[in-house]
Amino acid sequence: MSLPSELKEKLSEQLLKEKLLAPESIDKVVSQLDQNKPINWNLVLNQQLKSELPDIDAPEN
Amino acid sequence: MLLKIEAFRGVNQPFELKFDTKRHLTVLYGENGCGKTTIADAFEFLFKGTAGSLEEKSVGAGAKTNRLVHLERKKADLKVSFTEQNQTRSATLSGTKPNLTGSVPSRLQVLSRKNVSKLIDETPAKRYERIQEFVEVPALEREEKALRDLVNSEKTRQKSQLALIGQSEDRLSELHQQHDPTAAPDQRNQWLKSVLAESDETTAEHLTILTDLKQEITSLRNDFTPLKDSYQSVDIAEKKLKEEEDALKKATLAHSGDLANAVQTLQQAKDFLSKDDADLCPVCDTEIGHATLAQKVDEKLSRLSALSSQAKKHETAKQALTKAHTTQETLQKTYFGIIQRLSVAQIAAVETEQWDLPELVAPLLGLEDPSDLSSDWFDGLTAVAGDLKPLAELVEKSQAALQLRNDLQKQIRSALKLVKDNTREGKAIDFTIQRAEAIGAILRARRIAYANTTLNSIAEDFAKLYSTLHPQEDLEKIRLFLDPKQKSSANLSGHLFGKEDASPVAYLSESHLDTLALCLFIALQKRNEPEKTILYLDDAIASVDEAHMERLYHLLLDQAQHFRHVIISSHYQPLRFKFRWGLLTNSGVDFVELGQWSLEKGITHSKGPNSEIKLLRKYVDAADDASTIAAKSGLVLERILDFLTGIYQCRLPRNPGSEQRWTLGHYHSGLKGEKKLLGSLRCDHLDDEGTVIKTAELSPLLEDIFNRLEVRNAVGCHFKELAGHFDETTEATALGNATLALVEALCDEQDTLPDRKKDGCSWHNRGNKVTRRLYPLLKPE
Repeated sequence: MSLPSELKEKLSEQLLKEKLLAPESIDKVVSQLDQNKPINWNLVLNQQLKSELPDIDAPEN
Repeated sequence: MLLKIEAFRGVNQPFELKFDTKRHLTVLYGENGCGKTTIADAFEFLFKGTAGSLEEKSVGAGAKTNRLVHLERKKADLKVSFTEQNQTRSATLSGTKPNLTGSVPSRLQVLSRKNVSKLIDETPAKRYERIQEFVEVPALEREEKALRDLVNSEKTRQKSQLALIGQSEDRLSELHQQHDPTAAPDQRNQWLKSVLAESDETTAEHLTILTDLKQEITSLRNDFTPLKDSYQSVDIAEKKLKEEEDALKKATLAHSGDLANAVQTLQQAKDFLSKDDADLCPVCDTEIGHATLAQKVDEKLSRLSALSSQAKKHETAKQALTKAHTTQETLQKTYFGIIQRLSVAQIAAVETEQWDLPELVAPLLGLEDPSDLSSDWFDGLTAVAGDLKPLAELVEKSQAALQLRNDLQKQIRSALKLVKDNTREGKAIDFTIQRAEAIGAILRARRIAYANTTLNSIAEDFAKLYSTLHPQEDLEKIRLFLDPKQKSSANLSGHLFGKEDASPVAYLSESHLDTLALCLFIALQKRNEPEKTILYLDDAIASVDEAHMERLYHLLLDQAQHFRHVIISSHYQPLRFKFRWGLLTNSGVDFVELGQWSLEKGITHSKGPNSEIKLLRKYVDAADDASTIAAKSGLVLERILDFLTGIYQCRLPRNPGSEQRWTLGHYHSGLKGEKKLLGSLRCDHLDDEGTVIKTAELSPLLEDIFNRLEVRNAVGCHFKELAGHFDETTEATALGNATLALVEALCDEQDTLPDRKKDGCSWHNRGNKVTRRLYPLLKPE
């Protein structure tokens, strides 16, 4: 069962507004929700971490 | 759409129900026990695999599905199928489980009389269960849980990671205390900096330099003795060779005559052996014997053997000297290598300026070739060997100290790395926890907002539906909402009679609650693909009184347009009456009437009055079954009087009684008060050309029937209080004849009633040729 379009729009809108994820990640997350596919949050949040705090994730010199 | 049922509950013989897809509403009328709920159960069995109305009943031991089989039929006979748009879904019983095959585009939702009120007056939790499919978003709930799980696991990881940081900090403090016990704890970091001032690479490099230096000093010591021994070995070998040379010279001089003598003797032996006279001396021809010759040869050989032996000894001594030289050269080369490496290591160590190293002893400096390592050189080295001891001791001590420092650095670096890595990981965990919580909160907030928006929309719709049914009743602002403080809890409240947040359950009557529930059910079903939904309202409108029936009917007719199809089953006779005789519009509605049920035939379609009329004629002609004649007369009269009271809108009781059906007595009362109507009722019979050939006055015929009505009750039904007070056959036959007389006067050749009014001036029969015209069209005022 797909997500109601109104719910999808509001969800994307709020996630975008709060800047919790990159726009492309939001699109992917909403798309997976729409297809009722489980989301690998570890992966999603790790990617976000890499893009926001690259020093944290960078290997130690 | 075609439903087929066989051997299922009350259905014995195959029963078919065809739904007109051009119309969205089917009214399925049947008196109690005709099989309406069986049809609903068949639908539920087919679409949901359940036992329908039996699900909530106690039916004895065994599976409920077993009770779905008709009493006189076998399980294997049971079959239900539904065909829609050339697709068929079938259901049979396999063991106790339904065997469902095929699919159709539509889905089914059933609202039974029993469940109507549950939608409204159940607890909020139960109510939520009934509406959850419309408001839940499983994908969001699943991901909310996934995010909660992620946060929990990250928090657990955070705990162990903080513990590791603590352990590492403790270890650093412990090392500080061990190596600098007098220092204050707050000087730890300064100490750490000082220890780590030298990089581990530099420490390793210094350690390598010292290790190399130590190794070469050790080698210098270890190889000292073999080299020293080699010089002695060469000396010994040279002396030995000299001795053997001297001995050889002496032997050579001593045995120089023996050699020529030996040659002569051997020549003589040769000559002797070549002559026949073996006993004559080949030299002087003196007689000699063999024994004498052999003795002479032996003597000569013995003298030569001593010389040969000395020669061999000389050779051995020579070889030994060569070997001693070779060994010495090898040892010199090795030692030269050690000295070279030692020099390099010493220079490297000095260049670090880390240690105050003594210089190497003089013999070790300035060597250019292994051959420089002569015996004299070695004697010089031996003389100053003791001077190397301070260097060896310093190297050993420095190396041990450096090794300790290196180990300490490793421990500190390892602990600091753990602190650093875990601190960095902690930041990543903090980030993940914060984001996961924030995203989870948004998913939850959006889901609840969506649910409440959906519920508001549903509430708005069903409040609108309800106000259509109950206009001007003071019920406003019905709200259906999720309890924000409780999970899976749906509340219902409204502005009732001026009171805010009032529960409808507390203030509305049962029938009002029923219509409220019906409206809620319709509003809910409209949310989920109504165009693919068949709604079956099984006796769900039973509690509606006549005053609201018309509005409800129109409401359902209107709402049916949203759905694939709506089926209303009812035993409410006024509905049938109003629908059948045009008091309610029948446009867009399919009206199906079920006949009497019997164990043998099962559910049947009502055959209408004409089939009953044929039977009545048959029994009247035979005149031997008073009870059947009276019963059939009653059935025919009910239809005719129902028709007349219907088309002339005669007054009938608003509440037809507990069985919700009008009796002959009700019809009689409804007609007899209409004196003007009765006086004007006539039916013209017309021939094929439309010429009136006969006019039948109905009033005398009806009066005759009214006078005999008690016979029907006395003989034709179970109310037999009057039985035995008269001649049943005669009276029943008279009632039958009176009924048939009315039929002859009113019905056409096919025994159908004149229920059309297309010409606008009379009620006439159906078909192409009008042969009956009933007057008046309207009840006279």
